[in-house]
Amino acid sequence: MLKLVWLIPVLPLLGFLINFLLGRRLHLSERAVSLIGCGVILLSLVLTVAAFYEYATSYAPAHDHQPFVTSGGFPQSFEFLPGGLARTTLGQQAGHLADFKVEWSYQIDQLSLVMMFIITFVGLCIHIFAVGYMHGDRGFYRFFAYLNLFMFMMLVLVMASNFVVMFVGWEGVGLCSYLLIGYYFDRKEAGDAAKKAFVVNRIGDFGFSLAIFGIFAAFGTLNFTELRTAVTHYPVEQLWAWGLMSWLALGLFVGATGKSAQIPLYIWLPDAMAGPTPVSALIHAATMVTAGVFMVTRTNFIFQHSVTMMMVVALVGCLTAFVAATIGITQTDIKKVLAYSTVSQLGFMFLGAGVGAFIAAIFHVFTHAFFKALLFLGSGSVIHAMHHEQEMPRMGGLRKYLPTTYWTMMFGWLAICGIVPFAGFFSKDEILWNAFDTQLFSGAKILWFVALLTAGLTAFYMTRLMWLTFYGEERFRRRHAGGEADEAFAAAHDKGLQPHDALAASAGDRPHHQPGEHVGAHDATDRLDAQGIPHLHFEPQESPRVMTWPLIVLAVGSVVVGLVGIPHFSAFEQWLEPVIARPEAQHAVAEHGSFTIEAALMLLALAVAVVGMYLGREFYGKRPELARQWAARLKPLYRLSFNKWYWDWLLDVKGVAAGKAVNNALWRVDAVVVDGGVNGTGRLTRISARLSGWWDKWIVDGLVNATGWITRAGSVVFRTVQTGLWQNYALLFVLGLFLVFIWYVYPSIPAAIKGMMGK
Amino acid sequence: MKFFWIGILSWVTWLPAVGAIILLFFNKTRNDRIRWFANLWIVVCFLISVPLVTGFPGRGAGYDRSLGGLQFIEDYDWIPFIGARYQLGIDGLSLVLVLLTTLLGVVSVVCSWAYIREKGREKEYYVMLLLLQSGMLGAFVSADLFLFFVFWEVMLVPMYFLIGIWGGTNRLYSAIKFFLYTLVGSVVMLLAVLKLFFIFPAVVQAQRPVVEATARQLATNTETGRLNQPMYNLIDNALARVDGRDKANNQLLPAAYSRSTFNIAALTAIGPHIKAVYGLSLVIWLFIGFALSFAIKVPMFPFHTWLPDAHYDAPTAGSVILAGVLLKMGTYGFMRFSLPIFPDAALHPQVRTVMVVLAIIGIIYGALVAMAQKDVKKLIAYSSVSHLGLVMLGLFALNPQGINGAVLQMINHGISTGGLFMLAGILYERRHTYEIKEFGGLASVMPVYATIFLIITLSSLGLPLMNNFPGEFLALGGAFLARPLWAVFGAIGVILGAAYLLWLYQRVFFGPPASEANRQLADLNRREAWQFAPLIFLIFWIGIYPKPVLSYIQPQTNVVVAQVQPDFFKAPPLTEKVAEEQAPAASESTPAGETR
Repeated sequence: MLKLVWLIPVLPLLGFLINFLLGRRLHLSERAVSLIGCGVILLSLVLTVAAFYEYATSYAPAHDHQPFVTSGGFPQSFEFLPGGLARTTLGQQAGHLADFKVEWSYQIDQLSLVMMFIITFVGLCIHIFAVGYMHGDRGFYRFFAYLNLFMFMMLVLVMASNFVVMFVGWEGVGLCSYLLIGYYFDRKEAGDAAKKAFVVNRIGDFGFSLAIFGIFAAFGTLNFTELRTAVTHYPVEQLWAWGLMSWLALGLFVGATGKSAQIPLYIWLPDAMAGPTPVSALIHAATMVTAGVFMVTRTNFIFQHSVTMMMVVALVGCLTAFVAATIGITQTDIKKVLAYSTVSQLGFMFLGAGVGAFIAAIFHVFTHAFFKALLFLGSGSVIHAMHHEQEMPRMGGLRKYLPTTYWTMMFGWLAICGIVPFAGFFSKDEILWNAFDTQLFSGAKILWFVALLTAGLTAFYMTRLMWLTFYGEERFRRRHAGGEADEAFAAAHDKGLQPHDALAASAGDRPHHQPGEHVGAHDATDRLDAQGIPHLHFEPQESPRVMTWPLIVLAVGSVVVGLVGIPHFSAFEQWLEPVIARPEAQHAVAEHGSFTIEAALMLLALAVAVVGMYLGREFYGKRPELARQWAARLKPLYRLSFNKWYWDWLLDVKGVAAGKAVNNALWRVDAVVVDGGVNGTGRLTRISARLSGWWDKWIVDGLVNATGWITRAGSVVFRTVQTGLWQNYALLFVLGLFLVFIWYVYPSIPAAIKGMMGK
Repeated sequence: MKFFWIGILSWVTWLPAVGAIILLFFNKTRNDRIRWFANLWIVVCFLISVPLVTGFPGRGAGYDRSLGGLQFIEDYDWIPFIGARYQLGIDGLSLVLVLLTTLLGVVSVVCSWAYIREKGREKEYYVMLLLLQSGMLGAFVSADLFLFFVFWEVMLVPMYFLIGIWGGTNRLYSAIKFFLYTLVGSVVMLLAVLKLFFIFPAVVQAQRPVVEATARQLATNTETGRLNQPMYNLIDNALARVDGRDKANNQLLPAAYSRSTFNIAALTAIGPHIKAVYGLSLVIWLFIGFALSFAIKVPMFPFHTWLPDAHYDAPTAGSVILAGVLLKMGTYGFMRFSLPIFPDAALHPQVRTVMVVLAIIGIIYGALVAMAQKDVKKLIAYSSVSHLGLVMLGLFALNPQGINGAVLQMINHGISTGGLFMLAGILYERRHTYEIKEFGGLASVMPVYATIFLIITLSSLGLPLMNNFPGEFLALGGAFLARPLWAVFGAIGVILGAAYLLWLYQRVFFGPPASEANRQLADLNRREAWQFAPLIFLIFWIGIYPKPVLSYIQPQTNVVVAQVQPDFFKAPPLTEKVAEEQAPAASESTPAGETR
């Protein structure tokens, strides 16, 4: 079976090619497109499970838990990038000859198998959900083609055996993210968000690619297994020491902050919600955004060699978790809340990785994939039922109408809040405990405290989301004018508090929505009324089964997947242990704290979550006026949160404007100075040419003319002499002869004259 | 490889010119015939270049990569009194560029179909395009510097007319600017060429043993160790002429014949030894003479301002050729002359720093200015400045990765930017404007066009599995190995590349259709769509499996690196050292004790 792992990414690629190239030409029906699109993913899932089984039962025990790397020519592997010989320039082995040869091959090990399982399993659920969600969309085939392409790239990313192939997948998922965020390309926000996502990711990739170059320059190889061995020769760089390993880790981490939406590059993720909801679930919650955590874990042998960078990772993760959670509290768009919650959860993962608990981080990736995909799909189901309304203030009381969605989302809610025994509890608690317990650097307890607070905030805003959506008054029945008036309402609502992106705030994913077009659930019925089509009065309806079944599967997952990682009995930890390098320097300090403290902290975390949930219900369920009162009381904080700490505004408005100013200034420089120099030279040449022309005409040519004139003047004499009459010539001839005669025959004439004079 | 007693390189070079001459006999009014003839003829010109790679049954094999060096050599007397000979020959570098030229020739002629029907003077237009093709091919296949120079100058003329007659609003200004600017560079180069010509005999006489050793090294493939005998003979003949012997015909050289040579390989052989005879400063001056000319052609900052004008006013085919091939003349010149003939100057810290800094300024500055552009064609033109800056950065990394990447980027830029210009041309044919703000929302009106535009845009911004990625990755990696900071700056250009290209794409294609005129636009017809097929095929082929192309480039890259840094390949291999160190470490049973 392991011989067939190359098929796992290739199958989705095939699905992409078929749907993309033929979907339009052959007018494939939705049924055919979805069969192809989901079918290839199902096959990949089957192959993944088979590979998992074979690797766990036979390959790993026989090979000392080493990775299996495909080899043996196309299609298992091929030479991807032969770059010639090189000389290493960094580190202990600078000045050696190495071959820059990149093989396209796949690495199957404990880590990649876990990721492959997440991707194919959750991916399949989301594909099936999308069949219902995208029903009737013009670009149905295009959507599934892109989704399949994404699956290919994501699988390449996690199955890569070296940095270059990983980078291919890394950029590839970025492309798919671009294509899918911009799926409704006729809407401006979609285009803006797509471009922003790609460019911000490129900033991250800048660091990543430099780190790759650095790794090659130091170790002469880009293969993970070879690197891992080579790195062992290096000492661990202690706190505040900054050497080669820290630089490499920094570059890699910059890449991770881009892809996994960490401070300062997190801004693209909330905007990315402009894509259809299945995309948000698959790419921007369950899989792609966790690639940064995966990469940090994959290269943990480098990170563990730099304590400073470990601290930076933990710090950035913790800060991101907190900031995103504070923003999530006040957002009104259901998908935006989930987006900020994703950013926050990713921060938790990095916190885990940073304190050395890479396995806990991956465990959280694992559980988060289930419950966050569930929450996103649930929100998709809500949005679908509400006719593409995303603003929570216009929902409420939906529990009656969408029972399946409600119940499944409740599971997700309990999981993300961290309630025993739901999945999120175990993974989040593992991270918190490790943050408390770590000996890597001092002061980690502050990070633990902030993370604990964040866990409380998470419970609070998720409860707010659930209650605003499913409980309380049925606000969607309230008659808002709809259409342009509704837009105006949204704009005014935004304007008061949110000076910069009123449009984006109410954008969401509404297919084919034009400004001025009716939006919202109520307006759909209005339209039917206006057209005289008989209909029942608008009632939100539960989504079709093709959408609810994935919800149920994921809900079950959100309960059970946590059980593989129960502390001290964790199969998950045992499974992933071989992936984590343990530099000897850290073995000494890796003693764990007492069990009592661990248990106490667990209860504390649980208590904090319950308090958060209670407050959330109090504010948004029982006494809605409380929310308004507190918002007024903490107005500066409220505005800070609502405006996303002004970071988007700073970058999007001020940053972009400054950039444009620089570009235009440079352009002017180019036109005036650089090209001006060229044109100036040209003009100078022309002026000098005119001067030369004058000189030529009056001086040089003047001389010639003067010569001519003189010649002509001189010729007057000759002309008068040269009459053309032979008689004259004869006369002159005779005259000449006579003179010559005198000259020669009488040489003494002068003397004779002198003598005559003298006498 | 010969067909009818004429070597294949002569066929490749002169066939377009022959077509141009045949076209002269066509009746001017029979435009359809002229158009069909030109389109078919250029395809034939492409087909004749294919055997260079594949070989031809019964006539010989294609280019032998394991041998490397100059192949398909043709060598005839031309102007013996000045030592100029009609010498043709190609190595892997020339080969890929020749194929790029013949292919882009086809693409550019085919893409003129509708444009030129509208513009008129079709006969003259195709004559010029075909002559241009011969000029460019001649420059790539010349093994004689004098011959190269002739072709180098000749190709300016048809381009001048293409811009000046069939160009846009400001065409005369742009054409003259293009012509004069490049000519200024050529004149300086001519002086350097002549000086090189005159010092050749003296250097050979003073340093004969080492020159011969260098000649042997030049003709040897560093990887396989095979000696290219015909190429070595070519150099050896040139060296023998210094003593007045005509080795090829085994007789004495007539007294009136020049003792020197313009043979490029022979001049390269004396390159590293000029310093010993004439001192470093002469080497640097000669380097500057060549480099100035090439830098204008590339174009490097600050000599780039002719490019946006020339591109803006050139007809689409002119832009394709200009970006695809003519600019490559500059980088080709660096690769063929400046680096291997003047290694002491190239490696000179100050010279190298100046070149690299100019390259980096070009990368970043070109990208930033591209972002400020208000019309499609100028934006693409400035993106060329940025991309070619990266090529120069890779070249002056002076290591195999950098140079491989740079040469690969030369080809990739031809494909991707050529494609972008064709796409811009299609917009112009429909709307008669290049203004970005005139467009918007085209994705829903022209889906096929939008898809092709997206593919080529993505390839241009270096997305993996498309052609620019391996090139950029290697070029930047090479720069990093030379000096990490260079790669840092170079990589900024890659970020900016994504920004300006995606912004362009967004402004043209996303959003609702901006105006009634846009809503009426027709999508690509069959001819327009198929003309992109070869480009898209190459984009993915080079992106997914660049090995075949790289394997042609590699031998010549190694020659250049060995010429510039003679002990580069003599370093101890890394693998041995690691194995030594691991021997004691292995006993400690590290969890990841991999065999290497």
